[in-house]
Formats: sequence, structure tokens, C-alpha cells
Amino acid sequence: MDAAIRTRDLTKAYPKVTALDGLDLEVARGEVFGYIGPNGAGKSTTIRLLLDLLRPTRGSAEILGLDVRRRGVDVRRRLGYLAGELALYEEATGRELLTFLARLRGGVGRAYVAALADRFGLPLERPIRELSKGNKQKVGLIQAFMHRPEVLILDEPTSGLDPLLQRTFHELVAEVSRDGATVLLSSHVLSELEHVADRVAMIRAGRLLAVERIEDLKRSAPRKVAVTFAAPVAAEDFAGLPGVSGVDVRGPLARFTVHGGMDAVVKAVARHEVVSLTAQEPELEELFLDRYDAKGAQGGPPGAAAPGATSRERGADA
Amino acid sequence: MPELALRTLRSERAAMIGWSLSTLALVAVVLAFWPSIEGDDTLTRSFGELPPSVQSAVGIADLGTPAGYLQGQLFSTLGPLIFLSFAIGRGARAIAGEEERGTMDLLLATPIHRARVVIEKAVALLAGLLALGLVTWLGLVAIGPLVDIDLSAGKLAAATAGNLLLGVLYGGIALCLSGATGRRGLSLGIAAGLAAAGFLYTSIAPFVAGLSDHLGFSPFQWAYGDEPLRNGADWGDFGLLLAGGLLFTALAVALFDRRDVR
Repeated sequence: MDAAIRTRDLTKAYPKVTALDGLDLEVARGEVFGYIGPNGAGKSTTIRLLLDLLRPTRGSAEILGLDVRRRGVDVRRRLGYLAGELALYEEATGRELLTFLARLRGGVGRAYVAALADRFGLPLERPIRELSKGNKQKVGLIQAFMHRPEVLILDEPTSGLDPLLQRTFHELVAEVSRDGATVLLSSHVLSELEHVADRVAMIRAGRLLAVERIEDLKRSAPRKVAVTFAAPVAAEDFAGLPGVSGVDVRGPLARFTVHGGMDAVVKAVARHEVVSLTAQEPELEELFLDRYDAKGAQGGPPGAAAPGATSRERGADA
Repeated sequence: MPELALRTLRSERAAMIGWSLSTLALVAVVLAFWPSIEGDDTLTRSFGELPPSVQSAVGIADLGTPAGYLQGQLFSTLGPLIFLSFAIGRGARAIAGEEERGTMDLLLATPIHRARVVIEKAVALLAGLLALGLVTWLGLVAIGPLVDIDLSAGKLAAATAGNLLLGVLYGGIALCLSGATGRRGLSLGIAAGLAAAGFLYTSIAPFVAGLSDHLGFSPFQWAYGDEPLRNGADWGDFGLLLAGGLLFTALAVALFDRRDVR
């Protein structure tokens, strides 16, 4: 079976900067795929190349087995897209805009649009210029999902959404994913993606650094553990355990870092009466960066946002 | 259905009403001054002493007749100004405006060809021009008789059409630049500059020995050089203007399809 999204040597060079440099990416059908990197790293450039809004300097991209350049219209019929810097017709109401876009598409079920609006709590009858950033983002999300596309490409989808709506969004992504849709979401923070994405690709200064399963990342990650016991314990009880380092015991309170499996630690802890135990989730972001910093340095100065990756990204740069 | 053209017209509804009212007001004012000009023989006589070529160039060959007056005061001055500003502004904004607002991404994420965007924008522009043309013509037909200007509706339509077609041509040029570059200011500037150059050429060429024979190259000459208020429409010249507008629209399609969306 074809990949849902496949790029080969996809490159976008501007006179002064290479916004995307030889990207080879493959996203399987039905996968929820995260695409992360700092602002200006080339995320939006990649996405706008996939939408055929930008034309590559070199290389090609396929979506559902169709070349995005030659079969753009067929691709976009089966594609939902949310732009990173979402812009809408401010003078229209949400309903007018969605009806307009639905007519351009054709074959959009009214009932589903209404259901989505209801779910996100979007006031459809108000002019868009009066809507908050979060409500505008909802309009953007609804237009991306409303035709039940087979592939969704969402550039920074949760920006402007409050935590409750982020959850609504994550549920929606999980639902369409269960129904077989492929979802590519970008973010500049990994933590936004870790609960929804199966795999993440990290891009920096226009180069792909790595593609990892979120599970693998988490499994190999060091966890900071803090245990409060009913009575004082000895540091030696934990210092010798496999994967444990940085043991710090103060009376009944023990802190240490665990690499790899937790089994030995849990068993050692269980020998004492435990009052409370916390194992802090690792900051995936740092982990990812730590791991690939060396690699990143080859592709260009790490953290150096490629200026002018696209006009949109430039605007978003801090 | 031309969804995008309708959306565009809807967005510009308020501005369109403004344009229509100003155009109507302008027509009314020009007409209102006719009775005082008509009665003033000294004015017509003083112009009559100028060489005939000069008179026809500035459209005052016969300021004393309704046709001459309207040609000079409306159809070779204010009329083109209105139709050209409207068309060039809309044309320059057609593609680049959507890009500047960022809404082009939204449009092109749907399964439509880029060509359709350009064509529907051109249709919206043409519809706007037709509305302005209709207002102008209706104003002339309705108010004219009140001030004793009773030119035939057909000749008034011909003169209005000439002005409108200037808008079609230069609006097409602005649209073409907008599609090619995605820059509104640039498109506006170049198209307006070309229009100004064409206007000056048509006004000045009659005085310049080497140029007076080449007036046939000027779009402004095509639009009103043959005095449509007297002679009716010159279909060949009007055809040239329309063909030019279509040609530049086709060029806009080709050029927009080749480049990155900004």
C-alpha cells in the first residue's frame, strides 16, 4: 500500500537561504504524525510545498500516491488543511465562510459541519472579525475537517485553543485516525504532540534530524523519581540498582534518576512503607534536542531559525 | 457556480455602493453645468480659435454642442479616470490582495485550479465595471433630458462602453501584474503608470509632428478617438480593448500558475 505522504529530496531554496534541504519523509496511512522544529525551521515550507502553494526547487512529493504538483486538484479534494498563520474573510460570518468553502469543495455534508461547530462551540452567526483568536482557530479546524478528508495537514493546529478545546481537538484527531485518516500536525513544542502523535519528525534549519516513535522516546528517557517513605531510608538501598543515578536521600525523602526500566526500582521501593511516589515524565523536548544536537550542528547552527523560510514563518519568528 | 466571484463582489458590496453613488454624482454635476456653458458664446469662441487638431485632442472641438461638451468634460477626462481607478485598483488587488491577507492559502487548499481563481476574479472585476457603466449610462439617459442634452441612448451607451473597455484593458494589465508578482502596490503603480502614459500620449501626440500619425496605437484613441457620441461604437477599436483585457487575463492565469503563493 502507498504511503499517505511521501517526499523525495524535497528542497526549497531561496536566493539567500535554503528553507528545506533534501527532505525524505514517509508517513504511513492511518498514522498520526508529528512534525516539530523551532519557528523558521522549515515546517510551514514543507507543508506549503505539500499543498502545492510553493513549488520545489528540487525533489517531489506525493500524497495518497498522487504527485502534488501534477495532480494537485485531486490531492486537495481528499486533503484537509489548516494554515499556520490562519487568515479568514473577516467580514463574513463563520457560517458564510464555511458555506463558501464547502461550495468550492462540493460534497460537504451540512449536518457534519453543524456537528463540528456544535462540538467546538463556535458561534456561527457572528462576523469573523468579532471572533477571538481561539474561535477563529475553530473555524480553521472545521473547514479542515468538514469534508472528512483522508489526509489532514494541520500547521500548528492548537495555537490559540484553551486546554479544554485542545482536548476536544485531540479527541477529534483520535476519531478520524480510528476511521483511517492520516494526520500530519506540526508544532514548535513536542509536548503538544506527545499525546496524539504516533511518530514525530524533528526538523531544524531546513534539515530532517530524526524520526522517532513517541513510545520509544519515552521508554528510553530518564525519569526523575521522588519517594516519600514512612520512615528514614538509606541511600545504599537505591544507589546500586540498575539504571539508577544521582541518588539523594534526606531522611524519609529519596530522589534519584532512573534510565530504562522501572522494575528494579519499584521492587526496592516496595520493601519500605511508602507515603507518596512521583515519577516525573521527561521533558521530551530536551531529550530530543540533547540527542540530536550534534547532528543539528552539521546542518547549520542549531536553533538558528532559517530566516525567510516563508513569509508566514518569518512573521511568526520571535 | 462562480462562488469566488460572488464572494468577492459580496466583500466589496459597500465599496461598490460608494463607487456607484460617486459616479452618479459626477455625471449629475457634469450635466448640471451644461446649461451655463451652452449659453456662453465667448467660451466656445475662444476655444474655436485654437488649431482644429488641438481642439479635437483635448476634446473641446465643439464645446458648444452637447456631444462635444460631454466628450470633453466626461468621456475623455473624468470618465476614464473613474473607470481606470476602479479597474486598476481591483485588478491589482485581485490576486495579491488575497495573498496579502493570507486568504489565498484557504482558497487554494480546496480542489480548485489556480486558473479558476484568476478567472473568477476577472469576472468579478468585469461585473463591477458593468455596474459602474450602467450607472453612468442610466444617469446620462435619466438626467440628460432635464438639461436639454438629448443624445440617443445608443450613442451614450457607445461612449460609456468605450470608457468601460479602457477599464477592461488596464484592469487586465493590473490583474496580470498581480498574478505575476503577488504584489499589490507594484501592480497598481505600473498599471496606473501605463494608463497615465497612454492618456498623455493620446493628448500630446496630435501636437507632435512625428506622433500624430501613430495615434492608432493608443488605447485611449480606441476608446473615444472616433467620437462615439457622434458616430456610435467603433466595433473594431472596442474589440481591440476587449481582446487586450482578455489577453492579459490569460497571461495572468499562466503567470500565477507558475509561481509560489506568497
